[in-house]
Amino acid sequence: MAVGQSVLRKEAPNKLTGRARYNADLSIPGILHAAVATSPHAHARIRHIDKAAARESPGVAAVVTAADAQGLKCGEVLEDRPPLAEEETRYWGEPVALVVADGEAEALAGVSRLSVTYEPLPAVLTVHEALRPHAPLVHPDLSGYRQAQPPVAPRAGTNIADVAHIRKGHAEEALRDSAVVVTAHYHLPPVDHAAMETRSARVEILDDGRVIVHATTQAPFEVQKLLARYMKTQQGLIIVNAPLIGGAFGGKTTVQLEILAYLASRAVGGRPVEICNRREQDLAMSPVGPGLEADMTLGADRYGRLTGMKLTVYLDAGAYTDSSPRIARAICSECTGPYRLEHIETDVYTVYTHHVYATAWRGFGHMPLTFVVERTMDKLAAQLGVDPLEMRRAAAIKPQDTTPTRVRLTKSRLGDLDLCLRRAADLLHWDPTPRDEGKGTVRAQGLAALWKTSSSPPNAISGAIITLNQEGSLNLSTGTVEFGPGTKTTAAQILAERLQMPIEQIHVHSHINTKVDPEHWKTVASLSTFMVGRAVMEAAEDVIAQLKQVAAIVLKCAPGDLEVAHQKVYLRDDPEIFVPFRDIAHGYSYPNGDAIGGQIIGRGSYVVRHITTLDARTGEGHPGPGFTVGAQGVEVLYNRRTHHYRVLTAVSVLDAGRVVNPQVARGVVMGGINMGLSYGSREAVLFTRDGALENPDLRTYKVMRPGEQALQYRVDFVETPQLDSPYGARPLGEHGCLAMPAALANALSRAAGVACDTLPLTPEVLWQLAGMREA
Amino acid sequence: MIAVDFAYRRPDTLAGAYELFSDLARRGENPFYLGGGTEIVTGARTGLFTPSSVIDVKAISDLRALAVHDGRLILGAGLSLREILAKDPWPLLSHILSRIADHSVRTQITLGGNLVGSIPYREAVLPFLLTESAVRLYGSGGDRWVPLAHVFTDGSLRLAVGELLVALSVPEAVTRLGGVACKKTRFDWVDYPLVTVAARRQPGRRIPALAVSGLTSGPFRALRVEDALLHAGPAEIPLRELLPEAPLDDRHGSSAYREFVFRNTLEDVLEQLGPNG
Repeated sequence: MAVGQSVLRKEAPNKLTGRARYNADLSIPGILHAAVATSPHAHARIRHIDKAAARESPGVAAVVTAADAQGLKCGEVLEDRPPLAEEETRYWGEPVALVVADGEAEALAGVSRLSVTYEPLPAVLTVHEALRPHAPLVHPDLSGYRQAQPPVAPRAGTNIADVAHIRKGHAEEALRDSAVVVTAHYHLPPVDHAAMETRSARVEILDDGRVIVHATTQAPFEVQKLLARYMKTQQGLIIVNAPLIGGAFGGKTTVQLEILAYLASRAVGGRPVEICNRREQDLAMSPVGPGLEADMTLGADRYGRLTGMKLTVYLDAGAYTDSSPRIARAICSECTGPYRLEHIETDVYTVYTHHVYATAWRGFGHMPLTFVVERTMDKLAAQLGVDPLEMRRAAAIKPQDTTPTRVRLTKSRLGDLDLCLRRAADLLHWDPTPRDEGKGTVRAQGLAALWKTSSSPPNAISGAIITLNQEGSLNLSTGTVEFGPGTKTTAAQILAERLQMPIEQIHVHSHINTKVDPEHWKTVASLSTFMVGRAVMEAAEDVIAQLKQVAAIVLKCAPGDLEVAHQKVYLRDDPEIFVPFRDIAHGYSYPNGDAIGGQIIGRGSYVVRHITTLDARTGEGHPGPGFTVGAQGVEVLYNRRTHHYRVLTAVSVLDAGRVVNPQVARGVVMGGINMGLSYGSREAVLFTRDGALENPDLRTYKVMRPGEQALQYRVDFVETPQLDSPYGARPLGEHGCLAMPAALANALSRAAGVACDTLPLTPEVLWQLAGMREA
Repeated sequence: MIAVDFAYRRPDTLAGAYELFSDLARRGENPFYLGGGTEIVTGARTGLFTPSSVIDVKAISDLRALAVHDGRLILGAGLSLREILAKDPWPLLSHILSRIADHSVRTQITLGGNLVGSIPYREAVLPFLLTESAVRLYGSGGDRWVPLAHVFTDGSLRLAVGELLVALSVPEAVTRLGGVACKKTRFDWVDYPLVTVAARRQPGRRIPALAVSGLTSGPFRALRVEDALLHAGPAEIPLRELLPEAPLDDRHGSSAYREFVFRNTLEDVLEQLGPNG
């Protein structure tokens, strides 16, 4: 009835007309504004902060520094990050002090009058520099930090914040006995999320102890828990509101501005304080997506069968770990790509450097991982002289194989990669041989495959509450925030399908309030459909049972005789005997006025099952509920003389399990394709020799503009149901971008006859590679 | 948001603007003339630029001129790029202007602001460098027209303190001649140039007149390149000897890559202008 239909997203009309309200659109009379003084050095000792002039500045109510945070350290995994720099600053743009004032202008004027004396210190700006012997240490006290969410394995006296491993089989021997072995080095720069809406937070501490937070967050319940812990208060007193979010991509998982706004509010007696990132600040001060360096060795026997692999990844965490150790384990879990490999040796190091820290970025490490694996697969195919498509098909992981973390796969858990590869190849009219198109241009194609499971904590939960309005329409409350992919609409579709009723009669809460909405762990990892869907299904069953119970009395039958559909409860054997929802939603009234029942309120709750943390030595464990596999490809037109190119066609085929909303699914994948191609072709967070951010605005940080995208998108899905997911649907929110940079690099490598092992692939990079080839 | 307070004034005569500037300067202020404000606003947002006083010159009618007088096309320095593009009085100029920034920003940027601002590319000047252009200046030297070549040296307009760029002019006949413009960026359609070349046929000469931006620290008329191209192709000319300085080396492109792009662009330009350029 609703699942499988292209339903209009619930929030779409107001977004379309501009009526939708985002966090910074709301203003509260009398609210104060906090502006941030940020570090002008990548690494410096803070000698002195002179607050006097700023404090005297007109309209300024308070100046907040690290001293006001009482040694607080934050961090999702490892608590290594002071909300305001303490004795040292560790990146250019790091918050050092807050000026709280009547208005934004007064706060900014106050910041300009704040005098901070720095003593610049030597900085490490790349993982290479950070790993050198006697390199300056980003965190000299590394062993003293509390581990908030193990596993994490910091190495004191080094810049290694963490190391995670996969040890399966005997990689060394397998590679030694291989007929063909390829080894390559890859370098990928950090990337910004560049969401349309910059991050902001508002906090008010009321006299009764309640803390009211409004924030641009993907994790309102995480904000609630962390603030309660950091501020030593009850979770129930922290009320977090998350309105519509204007794009997130993982960048709104870090709890950063919420803590700063809390400290600012506390400094002015709990009055409401707003902190809203300017674009420049959003790029420089708030976290980015991680870059990495990687070395991969992959072997095959003389028949082209994969034998063994070694992979070493140095994840560039920047100044603080945030979620990097979890990203490292996600990379470990899927380090083979979607291929069968029994002999694996993988080490992922999380390395501190003196620049802005990294956090989740669409795909949680899988995009760079896919780049590394899929470039290496193409190299191996070239060495063997086989078609890269056929090699991938032969190597594709299948049910009954085990993953690097030794999870045994089933068809339900994995999906059908071979079908995705064949469909993608068909859509691309696959031809691995570049074609001369005249005038010095070449047409070439590249393919890449992907897989991803969702790395959630083993106890991630999700809930759903359904209330009935008197007329028989439904309200659905879930804990996900809405930042574009239509998670609320999907939940409503699942409910409409289960109750066999029109989706227009289901009303969703588009804003989250942690006090009234049930918890959803975090709106990340493309898990909303699965987890929320499970909770919604359970809540629907609860509603159905209650409806039947009342209806059985009204209709003088057993509840077992009844069915629910079209907002009616009816006799299975005679549907013309029924009672409509509107007669029982708020209790049933007899003709003489007395009533039975009451408001129907359904509840559903879900916790992921069988998820375990990974073994510290071997990586054995069960990281996520199910996989999404897929294949993507591009066709490029490349100019041999100028090294310019245009992406003609971009192709994506994901195993969606079941496509819940075809139009929205296509839109999400197309957005992902564009994001992947933008990163592949032009995006990079750049630092000067001194560690300053070199492109701190959207004039210089380049994202793809309309007109520069692929000329044609071909998006399709295959449907191998994931049996434990509502209607079989698999996650697909992140996946559209995962293999695009790899597919682009494979196509350009073929077109230009070079090895594209770094990003972004600008014409200058291709020119350099071509020059090296000739030299 | 701009954090610092500054005084904003909008005189409606040239004399008023210049007197205001001189007066403020005498009082130790550091006034700036304001055109579209795109550089002032972006600089002030990040705190890199903190004017105490700005003088908006867009209300002065002389800066709004767009007319033909005595056989010369006159373009006021206060016209926005978008306004010039809408009237399209000189196709070669439109071609250049249409690639500066994006549509929204072009409604702000003025012709004069693009020429005298601190962003070094100043691509709007390129077509003017190809012909007998003149500029109208107002300041200590009075209200005067001078040849562009006399005051546009080493990539920027040499103005005295407080002197105001009022308008530019070119022979109207020139605006009907053909010409080509070619902009090359790092990758994006909207970006600063690695190289922008404007070219125009020259009567009795095999090689066109060439003006170049982006390659070095400021725009220049490439006379030495033109001469060299009489004897060798774009791929062979000894480029480093012919340029006023070494090509820029920055995040947009390395010096060697800019040189490569420039040679390619010359080839494109010569091809587009056809034989006997």
